[in-house]
Amino acid sequence: MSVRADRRTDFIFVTLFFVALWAIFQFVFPYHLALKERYVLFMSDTSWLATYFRKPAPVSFLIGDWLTQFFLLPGVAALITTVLLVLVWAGFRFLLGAMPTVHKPALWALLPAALLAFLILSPEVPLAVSVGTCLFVWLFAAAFRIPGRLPRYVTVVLLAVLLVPSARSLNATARVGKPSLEREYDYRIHFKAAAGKWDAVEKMGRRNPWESLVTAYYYNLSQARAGRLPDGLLRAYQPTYHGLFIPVKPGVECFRLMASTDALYLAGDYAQAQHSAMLGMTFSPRQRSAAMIKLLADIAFANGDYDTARRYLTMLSKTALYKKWALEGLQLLETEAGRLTVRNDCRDILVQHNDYRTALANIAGTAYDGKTATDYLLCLDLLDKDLAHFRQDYDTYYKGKYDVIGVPVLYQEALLMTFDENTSPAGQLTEYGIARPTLDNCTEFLKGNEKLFRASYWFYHKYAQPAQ
Amino acid sequence: MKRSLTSIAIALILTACAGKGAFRDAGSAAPILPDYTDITLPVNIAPLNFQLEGADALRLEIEGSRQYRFKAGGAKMRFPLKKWKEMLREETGNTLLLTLTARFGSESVRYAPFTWTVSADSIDRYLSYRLIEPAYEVWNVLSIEERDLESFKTRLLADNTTVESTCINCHTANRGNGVHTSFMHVRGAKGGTLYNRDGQLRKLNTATDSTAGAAVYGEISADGRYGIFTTADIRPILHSGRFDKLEVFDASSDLILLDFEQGTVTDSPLAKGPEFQETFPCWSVDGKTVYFCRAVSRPQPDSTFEMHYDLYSIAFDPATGRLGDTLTKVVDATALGKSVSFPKCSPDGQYILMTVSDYGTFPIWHGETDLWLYEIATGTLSPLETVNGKYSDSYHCWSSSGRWICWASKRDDRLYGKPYFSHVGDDGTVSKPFVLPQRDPGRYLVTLKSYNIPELYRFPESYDAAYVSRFYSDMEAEKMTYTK
Repeated sequence: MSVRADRRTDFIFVTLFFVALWAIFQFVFPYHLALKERYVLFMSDTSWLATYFRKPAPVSFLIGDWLTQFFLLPGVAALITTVLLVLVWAGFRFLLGAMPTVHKPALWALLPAALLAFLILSPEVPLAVSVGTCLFVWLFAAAFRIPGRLPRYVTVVLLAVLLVPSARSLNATARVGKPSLEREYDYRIHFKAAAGKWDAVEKMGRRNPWESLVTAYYYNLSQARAGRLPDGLLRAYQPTYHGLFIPVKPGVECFRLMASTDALYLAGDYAQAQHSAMLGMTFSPRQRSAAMIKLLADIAFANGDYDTARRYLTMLSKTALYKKWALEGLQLLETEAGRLTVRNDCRDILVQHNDYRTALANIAGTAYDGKTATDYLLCLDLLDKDLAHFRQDYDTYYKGKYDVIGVPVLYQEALLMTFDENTSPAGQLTEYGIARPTLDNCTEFLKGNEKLFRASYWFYHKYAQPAQ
Repeated sequence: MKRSLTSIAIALILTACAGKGAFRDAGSAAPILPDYTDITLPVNIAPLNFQLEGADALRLEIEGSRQYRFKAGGAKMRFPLKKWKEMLREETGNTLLLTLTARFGSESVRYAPFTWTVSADSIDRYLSYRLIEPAYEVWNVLSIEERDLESFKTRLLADNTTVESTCINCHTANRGNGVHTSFMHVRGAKGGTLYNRDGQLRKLNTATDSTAGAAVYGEISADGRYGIFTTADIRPILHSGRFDKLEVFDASSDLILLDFEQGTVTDSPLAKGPEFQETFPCWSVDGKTVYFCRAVSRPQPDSTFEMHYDLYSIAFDPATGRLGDTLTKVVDATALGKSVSFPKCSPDGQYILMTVSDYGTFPIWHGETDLWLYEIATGTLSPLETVNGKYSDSYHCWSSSGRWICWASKRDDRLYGKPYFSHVGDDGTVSKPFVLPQRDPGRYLVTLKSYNIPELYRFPESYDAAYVSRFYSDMEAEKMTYTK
């Protein structure tokens, strides 16, 4: 084959390689890339920009973070990362081409690009790694063009001395992991929820093909938001009670820490929601996250904690994508109407880490609007198969307060299991508003037609196994 | 052509600064950040750089024994260090009148003048603080920095990323007149207490079989020989519901006395045992009294809201190294429905500055936490109204002259602590506080770190983060022994 034909083949192969990479980024793992945005905070503020220069590899991180903030926009992440990888490839192609012993430099140069592509798909690895590699390789390429052997080698050595320590720091704190479709599904549902696309969240939650805890969590969140947590609870996969709250503990993936905030916030436990959002940010690769700051501002606002809200909103007003939202928030802070959103009137108590039951009972018992917390509490009891607690919590927090407009079927099914055999059934049925169909279904279930009632609490109680 | 371009450029630069022409009177004080209006500042402090949001140019006219003018071509006023130092030196003891004019687009606004009183009382040159995310009970990356208060230079004293991400806390200096001593605890499997005496560094293991763990909160005596500390089984627990974040309580806590010369640990039967909790001890100036906080033990966390710590004292004999036989209740905080923490004696021996909150032993997250001053001679205790902010004010210390106090205040946003300073007059009056100046005045608005445990001292520490890393990994700790 002629050299020209050889080059053409190489060119086609390289082109196909990058088209395939782009397709993977854009269509297979777009949310692996989008998650990088969760670990970045870029403020157009000289004081903030100055902080980059107190750490190694400032230029790479500056460019990387600036680019990453746009990863939330559709198609941008795949485009930016592919272009970066093409630049990295071109740089290596140039360097390797300058070495006479290297055969097919265009193909060899794909290796570092492929390695970087793998790193890019680890959400915690900052884009600065790719940007840094790109700068690194092109600086060396430029150095190779310096005329004269001695000046060229001196420049290359100097560059190596200057850049290698920075390069080492680029990836120091990030966790590298294999991309997976299961995680992609989790990340996708997270972004759908963040965008307020709750119908999509519900649909994804019902499918939950990998029986993922995170997906179940977001499904439950979608139901709770709509005020139908008990109605929808058993219509999707439930990893027992683990799908209601994501435990906040050391070693948990940063993404999960960040996600754990949502249910606490929705249930009205602002103190713990703030705690988990803080932890999410603290344990992010570089202890910063615009998305978490937005959530913290939101929580502070809802809690009537206006000074905290102002601080976070001011920071966000200097970002590109959250600016509009932040400025509206700041404006709202200055108005009386904006401050009327305060709902927090519950009692201050102390709870151990991840003691959701105590926290929910407190909100259910003392907050003006504790319906969501009450539903979470009762569903927690039910998924934990703790009928004694369920009955007690139902009687304390639900009965006579929220059952006026009817009792959800799930609660009716569970209540039937708690009835006192020595007391008149008719009286209990009336007292707890058990509907006739529920009673009939129970009779059918007890007759052995269990498969007809897969979405019933009786089925769950009998067959559900503790989640791993 | 070239000349005319140069002229235009010069003209543009000159007009960029707030002009001296027509202006509108704002009729109010300038909303500068940080708020450096009407304060007393030490003669040796670094420039109080500030910013005025949205301004395109600033002009500051300062009237003292003579006139000074500073200009900025943007929203940030940064004073040249040399000129700043000259000004403070010349104006020592004077009250300066500052008039700020700002240009916003085509409009110039002049604000009501404010004052700076330049105190001849200099402040200790160095300040250490811990930088940590306010994530309450866990940390990821934390460091301890040393700041030169006469400039903007900082130095890393410790960085937990070099010591297996373990906790590093409580860098505390003795502020003694003769010797400089300080300590810092580095936790973790290979940790220990770093004890520095005039540059001689030791790694100490303060835990013994007869005491409940290693030293935690405490102070070193003025001569550097003794340390009074607590051992504490510290438990964090979360608030749920409202504004407060984290509560920290001691499942048990006792006082211990360390003799750094003898390498011994001792205690007193009066300040140990399960009936009472003892914490936050400090020395009196003469070293003959130990003050500490004490509360009746209750089951926690169930009774944490009912935990009220009072201030007690116990005599100490430096000659024998023994604690006394009686306890004296100095402040009955329980009677006030309050709880005291972090007592610190003023170097002139007249006052004890302490933190007062509604309950518990760890008030840094309590919004109601304030600094209170106790006058030893008269037994009067009162809140420092001038300095207390909207939220928690705590973790205070005195300068070695006793003329300045420094503390961590979360006054601006409830979450992020910043070091504030106030001047203390002869009669105990305290001036309006001002925040630690930064080279970039916007720094506090963008930082995600809280400044924690600020500590003033006169001499720079003789170690740095690299040393602390070796200290952790390579050095064997001297085991202290218990003696009755």
